[in-house]
Amino acid sequence: MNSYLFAGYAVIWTVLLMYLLYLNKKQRQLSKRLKSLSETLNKEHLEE
Amino acid sequence: MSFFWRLGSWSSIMWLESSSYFQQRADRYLKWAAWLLVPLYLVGVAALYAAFIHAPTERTMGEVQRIFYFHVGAAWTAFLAFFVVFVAGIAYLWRRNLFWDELGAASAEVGVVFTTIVLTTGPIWARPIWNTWWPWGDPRVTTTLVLWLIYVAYFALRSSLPAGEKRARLAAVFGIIGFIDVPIVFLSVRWWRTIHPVVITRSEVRLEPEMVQALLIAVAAFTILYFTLLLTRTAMRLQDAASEEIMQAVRERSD
Repeated sequence: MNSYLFAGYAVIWTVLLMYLLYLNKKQRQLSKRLKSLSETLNKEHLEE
Repeated sequence: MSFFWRLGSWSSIMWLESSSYFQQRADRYLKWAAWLLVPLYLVGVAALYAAFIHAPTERTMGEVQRIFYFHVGAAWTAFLAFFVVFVAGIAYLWRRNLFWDELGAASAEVGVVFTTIVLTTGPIWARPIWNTWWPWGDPRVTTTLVLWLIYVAYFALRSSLPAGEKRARLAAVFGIIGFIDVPIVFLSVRWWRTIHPVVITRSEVRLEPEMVQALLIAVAAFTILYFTLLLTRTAMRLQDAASEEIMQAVRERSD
């Protein structure tokens, strides 16, 4: 296979993979925030 | 698919009236995105088959020409993404609903990703064909780089302002004005002297029928990928906004 062709498609998959990893990181941050929110709400509910 | 369902399952703790609108939309979008994975897989495999096996090898450029199918697919999708930013900007200024702001930001983000693909695959194709990585004098290359910089600046603007009405308004105006570069990129090869190949003109398509088929399948695959990413990212942004709103309400109540 032509090395430039390989490089071209490798770049496409790399950029997409990097974006998916970025989304995964964002999603983990969001999950963490929602977890702490859930804990706060549960605590408030028990106190009431 | 568990990635999408995991995101959606958090909806049970979203209870504030004002946030539930965002949360309901987020849940719906994540379900749609999950369903889009099936056609994305099928059309994606078909696009790879068409680009590497179905389409014949170009006579003068050789194998490296096969970059063209995904390069153009990414370019088309980037244009579509920035058009959605433009429409979302108008919708926000008209309705003043923050949903449109989140949709526009999500689309701009995906558009920047696809423009990055265009700007990296282009030079890889150009090196063996034009004997240069980056022809600075070429209007299409330069205007595409400007397009990428415009939407990177869009995110610089967003991150420099606190979330709220002012940021949404300025981002909407920026997204509308920034879109002006999209028709300039598209028409640059007709307006100015260029070495960029023009394979589709108003009167003819300078490609073999199998090459046209490969291009159309690649465009379809990238379009489905765009909508999958757009729905996912919009849902994540809406959930983020909803959780921030609930957090704020809890803070106010405990003060």
